[in-house]
Amino acid sequence: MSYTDRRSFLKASGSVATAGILAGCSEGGNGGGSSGPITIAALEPLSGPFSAWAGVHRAGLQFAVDEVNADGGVLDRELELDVTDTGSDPAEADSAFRRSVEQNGAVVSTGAVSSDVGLRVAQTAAELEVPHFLHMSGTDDVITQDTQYVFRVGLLPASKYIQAQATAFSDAGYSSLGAIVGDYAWGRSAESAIQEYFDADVNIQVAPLGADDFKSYIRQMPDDLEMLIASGHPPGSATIANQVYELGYSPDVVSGASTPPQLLSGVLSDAALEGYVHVHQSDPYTDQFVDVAEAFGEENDAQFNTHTAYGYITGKMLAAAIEEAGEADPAALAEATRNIQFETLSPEPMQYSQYGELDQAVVIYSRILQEAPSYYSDGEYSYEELFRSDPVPAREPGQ
Amino acid sequence: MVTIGTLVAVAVDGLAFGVFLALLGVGITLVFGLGDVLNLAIGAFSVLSVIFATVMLGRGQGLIVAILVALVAVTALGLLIDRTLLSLVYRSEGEERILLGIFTTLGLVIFIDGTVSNFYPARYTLPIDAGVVPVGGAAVTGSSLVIIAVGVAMLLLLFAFLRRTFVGKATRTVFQDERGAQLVGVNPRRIRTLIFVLSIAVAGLAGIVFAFGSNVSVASGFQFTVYALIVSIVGGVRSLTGAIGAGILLGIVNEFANFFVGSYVAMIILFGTAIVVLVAKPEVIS
Repeated sequence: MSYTDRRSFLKASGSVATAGILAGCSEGGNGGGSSGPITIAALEPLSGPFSAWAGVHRAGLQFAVDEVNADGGVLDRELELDVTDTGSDPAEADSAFRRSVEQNGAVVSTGAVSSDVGLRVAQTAAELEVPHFLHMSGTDDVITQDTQYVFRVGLLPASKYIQAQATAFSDAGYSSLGAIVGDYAWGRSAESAIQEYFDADVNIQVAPLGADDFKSYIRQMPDDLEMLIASGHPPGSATIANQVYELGYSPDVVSGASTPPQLLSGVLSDAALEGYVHVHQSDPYTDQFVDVAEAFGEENDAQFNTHTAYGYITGKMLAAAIEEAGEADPAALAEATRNIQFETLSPEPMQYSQYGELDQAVVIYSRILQEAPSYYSDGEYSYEELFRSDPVPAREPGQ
Repeated sequence: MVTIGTLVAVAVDGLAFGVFLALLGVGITLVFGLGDVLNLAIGAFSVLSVIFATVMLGRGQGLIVAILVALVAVTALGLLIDRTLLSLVYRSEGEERILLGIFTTLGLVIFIDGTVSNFYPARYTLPIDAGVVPVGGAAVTGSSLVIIAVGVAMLLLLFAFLRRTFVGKATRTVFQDERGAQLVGVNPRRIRTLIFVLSIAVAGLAGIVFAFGSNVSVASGFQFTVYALIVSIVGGVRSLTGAIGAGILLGIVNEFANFFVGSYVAMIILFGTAIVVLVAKPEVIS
């Protein structure tokens, strides 16, 4: 190749490479351009200890996205999901979040369940200035006074969650209480909150997150146990409930965590079903929930439950926030969400404090019934409301 | 103050856990001892048997039928794996076979976990209404007693097969001297198939008995495989009686450690025991 030919070749190659880089840069951060779909990064723990949470959340989110698109989309653009299995690993969630934003133009993300993942993606959201809508991740530390891009959906922070529970059961006058919490961010937050908000002296045991056998912890409980708080160990709460009755204890109540009900109905023993209390922030007792659940059941041949509702609420709320913002810009979306009052499948409209904490949320405590609901005849469980809390004011970070 | 009754109850729970560990240890030792294949997918088969049983229960079958169908299904899957994937592994010899076995079964685990978690992402249990046996004020769970009974019965059957039947004796011959066994007309490849299928059945039963008292998910498979490895190392990787003894001992120690000092220390004890054995007797894994 002559010198002139080589120079021409290098010039041409450089021009092509530059054009490619510029094209790639222009794809990032604005949802694929002003006419392409608006991308939502779904960082779901499809494998690992929280896989059951991810499956239903994703299904609800997809259903909401499909509904929005069928109605013409948002700002004349369709929504699309960019789903990644994070495996409940914080590093994987962080990588997936970045990849989705930088390569696929995601303008918002959702899906964190484990509090450890929530803590990590909160940092990523702040760094990328792209909002994240938590599915669970109830540790208080996820939202601080500096938080601008994280919003809770399905779960109050541990302090408020436990405070609501203490209030709801205060009239029962239980004096012999026990608790089993997981040794991770959510469990430790729950432990602190139990010590603060329950008046009685609670026997608290700490178990590893992946524990399958809780008998050694349950045997440490008082013989006259009246209430067992399993809320601090979501993956193990059903096993805890089964084993506490198997060991001959007879608590009136085993308060569960925000565990997807499909995880409970096939797992809880008959004795545990009587005492186990399902805790949720979506309201399955409204006509709106029934309508959505019926439509979901017809389309997916699956039961729409309290956790599917969190994914659905997230999808619909994102669409409303983008519409309100007038643009698919992450910062504008975050600002619109802070000012939103969104009527949906929750007992009260979804609304937020300036930091992203849920404001005036209501927590419902229900018993699981092993019978099909009215809206899905092939279902295996339904709900019976026991209590609902008063609206809970947003937590103030730092207090 | 801890009562005698509570200590007895913890000991029974420990024995139940020990029987579960022994079943896993026997499962992995059978295949490694006979065919030099370290089956890292053994935990996945344990989980699969629970899922099969849960599916059968969901279709209205009784518990016994569901368990039998599950064991048949998982052993049939084991037979398929042996005749396909493991046939490739058995073409190698010595260290090459060991390495190939590790990588092949590791790939199998990833495939099984990835596929199954898409369809069965929840946690599964096989609750049995076995009641509680009061012992000095403490409660010995009926499920622990059932686990012990079922596990011991399985192990006795296995030993009866190995010692009292012609095929069992042929199996032991292959264990001891494969060339000699061939010379007297024993087909080592068929024996390896039989033993692999048997090990899967044992592992499947281990998963079933575990699910009597606890929940099982796809992620549990990895944990079960780790348990199997620890038990096999401590018991001697080619000794079935060693695996049983190690399993029971570690199960009892684990439960008492859980009760008195907590799960993390119990796990340290499990792994620490395996490390001590490896350091003291490195020839056990040769």
